[in-house]
Amino acid sequence: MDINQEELDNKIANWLNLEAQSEIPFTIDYNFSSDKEEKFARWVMMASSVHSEFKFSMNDKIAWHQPLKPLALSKIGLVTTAGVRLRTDTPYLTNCEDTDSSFRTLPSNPNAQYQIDHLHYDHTAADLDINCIFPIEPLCQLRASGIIGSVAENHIGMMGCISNTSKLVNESIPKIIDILLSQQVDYVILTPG
Amino acid sequence: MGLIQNSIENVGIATISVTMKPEITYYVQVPRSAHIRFPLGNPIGEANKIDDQKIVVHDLLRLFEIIQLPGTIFELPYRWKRKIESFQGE
Repeated sequence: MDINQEELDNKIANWLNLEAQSEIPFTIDYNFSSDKEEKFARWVMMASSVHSEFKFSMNDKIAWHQPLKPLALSKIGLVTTAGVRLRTDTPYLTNCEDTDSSFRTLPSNPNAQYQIDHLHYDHTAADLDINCIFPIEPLCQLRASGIIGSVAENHIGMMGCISNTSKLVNESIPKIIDILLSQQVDYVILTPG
Repeated sequence: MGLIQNSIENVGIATISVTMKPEITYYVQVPRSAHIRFPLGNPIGEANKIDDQKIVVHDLLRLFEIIQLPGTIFELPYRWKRKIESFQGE
């Protein structure tokens, strides 16, 4: 992994400059290849072949909350759809056609014993170091150095590529939101598998 | 993940997601997203590279200030140099 901070800073500066000059909303910073529709269609076909109930869901309207609170005073939470749970917690169901839409709470403890149940990606690296997909240790270190105010006491683990979205929307999401709101979380980072 | 992200943002909690498949994220439509060109299974980076992981998480947090328009997919300019196989046995 090669991180060039100068390159990132230049990129941000250019991006802000472009945005300022643009007369139309400059909403995207991904140089989509001309075959993005084809790539997307291939992914939908693949997902449909694995899950008979698969239905692609998109958001009707993009939600937006303008963040104003400085990071140094804010509480940060994590949500991962990489199939992470505590080793002592109930395993996710992986042998049914509908992907498990339940969730698990993950305590803010970098030393906890985690387990990954997801079958859709190679989690060799995350089995060695959970922070590859659930960055709890980096987050705790950012708090220790004062970059963020605090870390949520409880984070959320769940599966990705959930085919039964009605169960997800009606049962899991309201509970997840209650957990985040009750801890007064200001910002959430979501990570895939 | 997009449905969850949008629902959380909707109750007043600012969100950013990591994506490795921006063509899917583009169609799902989410408030803020960072495209990281790492292999599946490594959205935050390599195992046991805490300093690099911390940079990635910090950059994700910096994007809350930088991204001002809903639907932005910001490509973080990291490069993956190692093969996934190299994680094994090290």
